[in-house]
Amino acid sequence: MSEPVVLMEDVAKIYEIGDIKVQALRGVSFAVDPGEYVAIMGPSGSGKSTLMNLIGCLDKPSTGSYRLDGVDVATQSDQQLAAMRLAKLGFVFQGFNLLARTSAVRNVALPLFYAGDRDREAKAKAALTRVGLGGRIYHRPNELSGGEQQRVAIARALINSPSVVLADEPTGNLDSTTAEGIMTLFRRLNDEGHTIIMVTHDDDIAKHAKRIIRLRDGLVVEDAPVEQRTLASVE
Amino acid sequence: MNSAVTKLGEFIGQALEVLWRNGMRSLLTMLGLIIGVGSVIAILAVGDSTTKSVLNILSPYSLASAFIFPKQQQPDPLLAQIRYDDADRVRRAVPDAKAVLPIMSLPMETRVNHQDKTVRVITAGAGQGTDTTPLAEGRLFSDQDLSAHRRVAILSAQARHELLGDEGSAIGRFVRLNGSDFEVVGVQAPPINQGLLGAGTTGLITVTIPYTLIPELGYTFVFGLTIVAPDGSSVTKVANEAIAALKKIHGSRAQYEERDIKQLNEGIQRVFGILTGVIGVVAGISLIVGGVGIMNIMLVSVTERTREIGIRKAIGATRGDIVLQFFIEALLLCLVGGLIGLIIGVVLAELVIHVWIKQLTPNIISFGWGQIIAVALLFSAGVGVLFGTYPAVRASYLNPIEALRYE
Repeated sequence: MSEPVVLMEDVAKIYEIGDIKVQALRGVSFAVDPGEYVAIMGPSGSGKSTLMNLIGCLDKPSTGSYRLDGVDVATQSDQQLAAMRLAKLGFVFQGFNLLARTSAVRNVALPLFYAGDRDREAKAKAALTRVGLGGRIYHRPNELSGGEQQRVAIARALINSPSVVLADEPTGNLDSTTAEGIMTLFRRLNDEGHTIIMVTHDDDIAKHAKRIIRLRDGLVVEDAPVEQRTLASVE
Repeated sequence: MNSAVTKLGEFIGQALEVLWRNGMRSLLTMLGLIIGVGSVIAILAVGDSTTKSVLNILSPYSLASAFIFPKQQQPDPLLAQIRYDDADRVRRAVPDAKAVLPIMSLPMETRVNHQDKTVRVITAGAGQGTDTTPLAEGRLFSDQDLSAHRRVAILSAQARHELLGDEGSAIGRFVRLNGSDFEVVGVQAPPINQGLLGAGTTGLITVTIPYTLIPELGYTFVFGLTIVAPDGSSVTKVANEAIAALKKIHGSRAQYEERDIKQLNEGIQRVFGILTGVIGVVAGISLIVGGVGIMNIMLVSVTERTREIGIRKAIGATRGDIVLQFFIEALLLCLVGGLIGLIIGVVLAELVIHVWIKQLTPNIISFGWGQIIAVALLFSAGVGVLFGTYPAVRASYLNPIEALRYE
């Protein structure tokens, strides 16, 4: 059995807003193995955004430990966390979060730029081809549809061959047909071996995953495989 | 290391792109700096050129000579009066002096077209001229002119115009002064340094005659003595020796003062230095104002691009990457502004020099280019570092989670 990619042990997160302490997570434990496809679900306020930020190394747990690829995040400096985000994580956001006025290929190449990779243009083109956008590499985000923008974001997330692809409501801004296309793409990436963790509040979208973790009030209330998985048709 | 250099080049490319994309805004942001650098450069260039050019007016001859005359306030003014004969005695007492010449400046009467006219007559030695004003025609006095007591004259351009008219050559013609005729041997070029430092004589109705004529014209006492030293560095020493000699002749109660061009030289340099400094400080303030403008716009830019910063950080940009990105933008903004300012400043300086300074001196010496460019680069880079650091550091400290949520 290989080591889990994500290992959460009794993780809590407390925000202090003035004098008020908000306990966003109250002791969450779970592990995600390589090749898994997990959906994290829960109503707003359940702590799923906080959990997402922790997994994404944008924040550190208040107590408990989180290991990404065996590295304890709590011991890492800001500099090291940036390096971990660069090398081990790929983000896909609800709002796409592409750099406006920058071509698709350069958006995709951005992580390689920070990594100091010289061959980034060719790699970015290849990544765009993989997500089905080979013909639109020089378009800017405002010249692309929502679905196309999300594909650019996915290509950017994949470009550094991350250990985990983290998707935060990836279909939240898309119509159901386009969303279906994105889910198809995710399934294919998962079939190819990518580990995917997706935060969503949409049951239909969550059923594309192999496993669902449900949060409520900062605690895991359910962690189970999806019994009747929706299999998006692979194009 | 190699990849760091590539990264830096990439940052510069990206920054230029951002500046170019926001062309109008970049230009307006730079405006303060452009004006600041432009004025600093113009002032330094004009100051440098003027000082050099003005000093160049003075001939090597005058740089080595001193003027000695009795002090205005003294116990016994009559006792201190310098006599024509004193020149020879001082000459003998001061072996280092190359020449000691009595100086006289007096009004004389002449008649032009049946009208009385007063001209200023000054005396000079052989081959002597206090400034570099060239002769329009003829020659300076020769040794023979002086030893033979020839009644010859050199006219200023104004004197030639007033006394002889502008037709034909003036050489060989005569001017009548106090009832005796003087043959014109030279005419000075038109006034180019009129009134400047009182050194120029060409703008007045001035007639120069050999100093050896002073006794024949009926004068025993003279204004003062010109002492010519071997070179500029020994002027003061030789002049002081001459004063000592005069005191031996007239008694220790007689008081004299000495003026040499070296003092004047230093005076000119000091005055121009102070002027340049004061105006430079004012221009420097506009530079700071320009810098504050750049900082302001960079802060606005950081706020506007909060989301971009969040994206970059989430993707894996380190704080250093973000600092570098915004710092380079500010620095390039300043350098481009400085470059435009440099061009404007130099054009302005050339204009001022050629329109205004040209009237003071015929031979313009240009300013030092290397120094000017170094100052422009240094100032604009300095402003960039000073005012670009804070916005860049502020950008780097943005929390990526909040930055990503920023609308």
